[in-house]
Amino acid sequence: MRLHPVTWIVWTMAATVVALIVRHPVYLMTVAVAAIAVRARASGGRTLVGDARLALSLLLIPALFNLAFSRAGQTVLLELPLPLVGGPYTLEALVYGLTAGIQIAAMMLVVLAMSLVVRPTDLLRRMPSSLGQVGMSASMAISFVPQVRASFASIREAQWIRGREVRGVRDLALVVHPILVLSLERAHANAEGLAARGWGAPQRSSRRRRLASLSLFGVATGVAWWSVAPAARWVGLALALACAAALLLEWRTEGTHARYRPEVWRRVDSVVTGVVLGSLSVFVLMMAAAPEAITYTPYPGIHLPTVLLPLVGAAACLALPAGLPLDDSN
Amino acid sequence: MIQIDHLTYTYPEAGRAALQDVALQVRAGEGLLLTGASGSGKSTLLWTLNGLVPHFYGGRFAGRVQVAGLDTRQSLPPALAARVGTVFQEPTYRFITSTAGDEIAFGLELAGVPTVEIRHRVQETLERLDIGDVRDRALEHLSGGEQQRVAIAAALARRPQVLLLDEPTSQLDVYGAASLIDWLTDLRRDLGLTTLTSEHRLARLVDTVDTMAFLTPDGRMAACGEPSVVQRAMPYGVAQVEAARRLGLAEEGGAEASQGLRESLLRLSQPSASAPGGDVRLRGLGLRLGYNGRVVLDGADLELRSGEILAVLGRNGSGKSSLLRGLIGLEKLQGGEVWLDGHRIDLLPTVARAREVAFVPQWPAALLFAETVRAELDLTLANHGLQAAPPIAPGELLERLSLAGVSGRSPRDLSAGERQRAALAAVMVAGPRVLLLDEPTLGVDPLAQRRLAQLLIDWRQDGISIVLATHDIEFAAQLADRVLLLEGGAVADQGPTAETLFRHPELRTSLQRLTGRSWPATPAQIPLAAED
Repeated sequence: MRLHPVTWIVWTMAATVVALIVRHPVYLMTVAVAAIAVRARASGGRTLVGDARLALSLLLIPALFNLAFSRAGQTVLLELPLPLVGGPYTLEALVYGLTAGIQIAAMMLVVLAMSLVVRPTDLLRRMPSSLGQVGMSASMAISFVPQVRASFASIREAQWIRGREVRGVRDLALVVHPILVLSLERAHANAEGLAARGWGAPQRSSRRRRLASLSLFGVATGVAWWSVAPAARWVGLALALACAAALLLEWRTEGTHARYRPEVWRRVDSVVTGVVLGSLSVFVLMMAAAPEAITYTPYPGIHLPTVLLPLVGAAACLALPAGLPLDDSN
Repeated sequence: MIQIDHLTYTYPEAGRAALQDVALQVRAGEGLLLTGASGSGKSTLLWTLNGLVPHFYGGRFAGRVQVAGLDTRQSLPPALAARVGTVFQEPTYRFITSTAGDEIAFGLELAGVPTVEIRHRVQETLERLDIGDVRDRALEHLSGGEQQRVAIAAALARRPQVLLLDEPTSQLDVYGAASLIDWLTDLRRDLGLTTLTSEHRLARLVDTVDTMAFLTPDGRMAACGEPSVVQRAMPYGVAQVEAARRLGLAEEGGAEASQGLRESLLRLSQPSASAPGGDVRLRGLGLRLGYNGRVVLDGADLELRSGEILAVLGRNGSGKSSLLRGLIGLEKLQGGEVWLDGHRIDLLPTVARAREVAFVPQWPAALLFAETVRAELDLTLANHGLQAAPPIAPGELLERLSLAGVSGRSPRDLSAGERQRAALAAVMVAGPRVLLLDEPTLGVDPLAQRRLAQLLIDWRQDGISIVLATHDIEFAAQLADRVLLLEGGAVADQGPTAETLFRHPELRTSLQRLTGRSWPATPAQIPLAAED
C-alpha cells in the first residue's frame, strides 16, 4: 500500500477525470467502490461505514431533488391534483438524479482517498517555488477535511456546554459557520508557519513566476474551453496540453530539491501508474470515439443501461492500490 | 545584530497602528524579553524581523528594520529565514510535516541543502539540543513541551543568528515551562544566539535575559533596558515587585532589595483566617475515566462548598481537564458518582447539567459562535428556555464583565481577555451555581488575569462555587481557598491553599520561596502600607 506520492497524485487525477467524463451509473459506481476500497485499505477498515453512509447521502440528495423538480420523463410514478407540488413525479427524473448522485459521490470519495494517503507536504514539495502560493492553497485544501472533522467535535461539545443538543438540519447553521471560521483560522496559521520557514520565491517578482502562473491559468482555461465549447473542443485541449507541457518544463528546469528522506520509486509504482493511466486512456478514447457508450440518459423513457464488461473492468482497475500487500517497511 | 528605527506599522483594514514609532537595538548574543498587554504589538514586533510584517500580512509600513545585515524592506521572508528562526505560540497548527525529523529537515530542504548534509544536520540538531529520541515519532503524539522543543529545533536547524519566540511557554505547565526556559538559556549561551522572546509569564524568564522591553497597549515602546528597571515602569510585575510595591519599599532591583523584601515579609504576622464556604454543593466520588486503555482518572474524589474557590493542580496529563470534563459530562465516567446539592447528576447528559454547572474550556473561543457578544447571551437563555425570565439581566452581566462597550461586536474581533469574559458571560447568564474553569490564565495577559480574578472573587461572594484547573501557581495562590493536587488521576494532596502549596517545594510561590514560610503566598495577602 506504500506508494510514491507521485503515484497517488496520478491515481487521483486519473480517477477524478474518469468520474468527470463518464455519465453511466454502473461505471461510476465501480469508480466509487474502488475509492471506498482504497480508503478502507489505507485506514485499516475504519472508514468503511462512514464512507458508505456518505456515499448514500450524496446519492439520495440529488435523486430526491431531481425527482421533486424535474417534470420530464414518461413513466409517471405519482401525480396529485395539486398546483405546483402535484407532479408528475417520474421514474426517469429519479434515475437521472441517482446517476448524478453517484457521480458526485465518486468524485468526493476519490478526493477523500487522496487526503488520506497524500500528505500536504508531499504536494507542497512538488510545487515549483515559482508557484509557491498555489502550493500553499493546495496544501490548505487537502488539510481542510481532517481539520473540519476536528473542529466539528469541539463545536458540538461547545453547543452541549451552552445547553443545546445539535440535531436536525435547522441546527446545521449553528455548526457550519463556526467550523468554517475555525478551519480558516487554522489554515491561516499554517500558511504563516510556511512563510516564516522560508517557503515561496525568494524574489519579489520574477519572470519565471509570472510565466508559471500564466501556464497554470492556460491549463485551466483550456480545460474550461474543452468542457463548455463542444464545437471547437480540440482548441481547448491543445491549449491545456501546451500549457501543461510548459509547466512541466518549468518544474524540470528548477531542479529537484534534496530530500531528508527521499521517496523511492519502486516497480510497483510503475505498475500502478501504468495500469491507472491505461484505465484513464480507455475512457478518454471512448469519450472521443463513442461518447454514447459511457453516457446513460434515462429520458425520455426508462430503459436498462447497456453495460460493456471491458469498461467495468477498466474502471475496476482503479481499485488496484487497494489490492496491494500491506507493507510499511521502507 | 538588530536595528529598528522609527518603525510604525498598521495592519490592513486596521483603524490604528499596531506599532508606533518603535526604536530598538539588539546586540549579537543578547537576550531580549518583550512584554506588554495582549494587542500591544509584541508579536507584530517579532514578525517585523522575519519579514512576515509586512510581506505576509500587507498593511502600511514605515521606518526601517535591519536584521543580521538585511533590510526587511528589500529582503523577503525566504531570504530572511536563513538568518532568523521563528517559533510560534501554538506549534501544533504550524507544523508542516508529520514527524519530528521531517519537521527539522523541512527548512533545510527548502534551502536546497544536499540529502547527506540534511541527515547529518538533523541528527546533529537533535543531539546538540538534547531533545531525546523523538526523531521518528509522530508530532501529534508528542507532549506540549516536546512539541515546543521540536519547533525550536526546526527553527535552529538552518543555524540562524536570531531566534524569535512568541510566548513559548504559554501552553506549558509550570514544570514544562521551567525546564524549557532553562534549556533555552543554556542553548542561547552555547550558540551565542540573539533571542527575542515575547511573554506574559515573566516569573522565571526575567532572570535569564539581558534586556527587557515593555510595549504599551497603543504599540509604543514605553521602556527598554535592564529588566529590574523596566519592571518599575510597568503597571504590573512579578510577585516580588508587587509585594515590594504593597509594602511601600523602594522599588529597586538586585540582591540587596530582595533581601530587604524578605526581611519585611518575615516581620509581617499572619492574620487568623476563617475557612470560607458553606455546605457541600458539588461532590465527586471515586471518579474513574480512561480512554484507549489508559487510565486518566483513578478514583478521584472532590468536594466543593458553596461560595468556595477550589484550585485543581497537577502536571500535564495528571487528569485536571478530564476531571472537569467528567463533572460536566463531556467525558463518560466509567465509575463514580457526581452529586449536586443532594441530587445525583452523573447520569444526566451535559445539556441538562449545563444549566446548573457552567464550564469554560481551555480555549474559550470554541464556546462562541453568535454574531455578537449580546447574541451569545440570548442564545444560552433561549437554549435553556429562560428568555422570558433571565436569572441575571444580560445587560447588567455585560456591564459587570466590562463588556458593555463591545456587546454589539463579533466575539471573533475581541482580545483574548475579552473573549474569555464573553465566554464566561455566555455560560453565567443562565445563573449556574457552579463554575468550572479549565486553564483560565492561558494566553491571557496579566491585566486581563487581574480582572478575571476580581470577577471570580465577586462571584464567590455571591455564593457561586468555582473550580479552577490550572498550572498557574501564582494565580491559584491568589484566589483559591483550597487546593487539590492530582497525580496520575488520583488525589495526591489537598488542603488550604498556602499550606498545601508550601508542602510541595516545586509548587511554592515565589514569595514562599523567598521567605521560606507558607504565608504570605501572594502579594494580595500583604496589607497595603499606610500612605504617608
